[in-house]
Amino acid sequence: MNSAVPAESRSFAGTAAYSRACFRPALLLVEEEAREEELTREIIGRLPGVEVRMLPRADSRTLARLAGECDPRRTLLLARHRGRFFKPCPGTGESYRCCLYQILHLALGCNLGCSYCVLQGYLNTPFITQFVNLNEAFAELDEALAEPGVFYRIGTGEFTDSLFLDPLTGLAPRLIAYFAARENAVLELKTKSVAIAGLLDYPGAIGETIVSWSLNAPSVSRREEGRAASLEERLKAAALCRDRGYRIGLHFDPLLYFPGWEEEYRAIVGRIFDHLAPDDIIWISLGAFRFMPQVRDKLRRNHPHSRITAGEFIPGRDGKQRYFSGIRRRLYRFLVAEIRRYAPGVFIYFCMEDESLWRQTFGYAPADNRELARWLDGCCWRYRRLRPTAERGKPEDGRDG
Amino acid sequence: MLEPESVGMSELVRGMVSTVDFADRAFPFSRGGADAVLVRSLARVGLCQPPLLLPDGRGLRIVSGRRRLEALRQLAAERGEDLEFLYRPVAGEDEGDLFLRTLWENRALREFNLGESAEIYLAAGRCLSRERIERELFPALGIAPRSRLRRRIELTAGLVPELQQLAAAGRLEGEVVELLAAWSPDDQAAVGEFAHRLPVNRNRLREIIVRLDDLARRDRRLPGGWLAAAGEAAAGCAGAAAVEKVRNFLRERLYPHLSAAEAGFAADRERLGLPPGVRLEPPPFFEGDDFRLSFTFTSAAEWRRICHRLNEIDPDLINELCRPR
Repeated sequence: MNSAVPAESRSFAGTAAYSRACFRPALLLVEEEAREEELTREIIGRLPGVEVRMLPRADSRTLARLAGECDPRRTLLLARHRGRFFKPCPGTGESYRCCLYQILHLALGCNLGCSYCVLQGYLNTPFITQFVNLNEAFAELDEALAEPGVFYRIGTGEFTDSLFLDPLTGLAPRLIAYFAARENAVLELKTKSVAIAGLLDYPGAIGETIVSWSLNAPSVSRREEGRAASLEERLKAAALCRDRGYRIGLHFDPLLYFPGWEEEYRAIVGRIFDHLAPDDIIWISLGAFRFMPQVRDKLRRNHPHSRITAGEFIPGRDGKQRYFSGIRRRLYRFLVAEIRRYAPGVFIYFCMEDESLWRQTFGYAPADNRELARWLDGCCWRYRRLRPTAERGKPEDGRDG
Repeated sequence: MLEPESVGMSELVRGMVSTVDFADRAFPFSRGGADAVLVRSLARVGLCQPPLLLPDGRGLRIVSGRRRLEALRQLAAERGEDLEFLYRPVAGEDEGDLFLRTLWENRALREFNLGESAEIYLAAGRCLSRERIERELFPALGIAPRSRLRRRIELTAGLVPELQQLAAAGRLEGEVVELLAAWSPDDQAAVGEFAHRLPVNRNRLREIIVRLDDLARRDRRLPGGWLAAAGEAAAGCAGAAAVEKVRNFLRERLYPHLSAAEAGFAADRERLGLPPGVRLEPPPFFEGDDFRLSFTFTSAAEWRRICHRLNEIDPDLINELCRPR
């Protein structure tokens, strides 16, 4: 499909959507200890003419001072990560069902400027940060994945957009190559961008890498998702990745409740299946908007015209503000019914949702987080191959949508 | 040795209460307000500690000693005569220096709340340069540059006078000030009028302002419009009852689904005909599906009686009560 289209336009490189979302800093802050890292040299090499300023160490005091001197929206910090690269998704908890996702923590922040982004309240650095000590990251992965019989779904898009820095870092192809050679893990790249050139042009085996797009209602995308690619562009990019052999994940997160939400979400669900077939999609997650109370002021300050925090929010059992359950139920039931019209068999799950809402929407609920994790693992071909030896879950527990 | 600053200090002189300019608040370091004990004390032993006053064409401006002078004014009113007192006049001192010196003297005695700090900041603008405010005033108030408190002080200073008064009286929280600062002066004045008219404490006021702000943001409607609508709903009520009506009105508008769920649950619970002393509550905010039943008892017989009554309740009614809302 689309093979007659020149590679450049197929991959969106050079298009308005590409340049809008792709990050081209005016200043590189480089930590002294990161200077000799290979990725640092590559990024500097891809940004000829861009000022490079060395820092002894990217500690919080130094960064706070620099935030007053440099425009955080046009600055990229290259630093060493001194903590764990590989860790459980912070959503993990027992008050709401969580899928036991794992995070590969390679970067912090992004430039898309979504009004609802909870990172606005979490990040303690003013600058978009790329960690460059990749050897340590891969060594940590090697160690974790060496554990026999354990299957991992791993994403890089928890604290950043997985692809928006890719034209500068070229990281996605490296990760794809790494995970393609691993039997007991799949990589999920989550994005709202169309920076897929590295994915399409990657010449090797892509294994079971999943490329996922976050989707929303059209007006939400226009009003609240800053420099993110349009929904149409995202879906076209998804189709191109599907053509290259990637499996596609879709995430309706955060779902917002607003006048006219039914028509708008119906429209975007319909558009999905103009571009993708049900079998192209490994999973679709749904998550109604939620945020820590202390993040609210920040969201409002950063996006004074946004109305998203003025909804009917109640304190959830995890301390987060959530839509009243009746509203969430309406959102979920509607979305599930719409998706099922086109794709009755696709696996749909909730991100951090109450067990009772699972039952009220689907008629069943995972007994615990491990069961939800097994259902999602079961969507992955590799997990199926691993079944006979996998310790985590019995074969019959796998629920294939 | 540390010498006291003696600039402007002079011999005590006599003045009359009627010549004190109580309206002047160029040195706003005291809220004033004479209490009965102070008035009685003055009546008994006189004004022992002379206030510091700045004579000018309009009369004697109060630099320090406002509470004592207000008590003296009250005593004069009670006695129906002007009263003479001793004060220390300030002359020949730069007003900015005097302002900062007095601030430091007061700062040693007490903390200033947000509204008071804002009033001091506003007053400082009339006698200190921008540079001195940055270099001397904020450090004297113990406020770091670019701090949130500093921003809130500046925002408070920009509110309408009615709200500044509320802030100075400690009835407006900093978080609320940030919301109000984004409102129009008319909307601010509407809240100020409401808070002055009705007995609404700091927490209630915060809740009402946050809800007004949420509703205004959600519906693109002015907060003052919502407050007027809430006021109409409370027509005919007075005092605390009116405040409750306003609160409920705003809550129902902001949480229509939750309010409907609560009302529906209450009606379903009523239909169960629970025995006296039995409490049945939904999950907090209807989050999850764990309902809570509790009762008190004093004996096995009472226990059995309550359980018997509970077991007789129609299961369909219980299922109806437990349905998702």
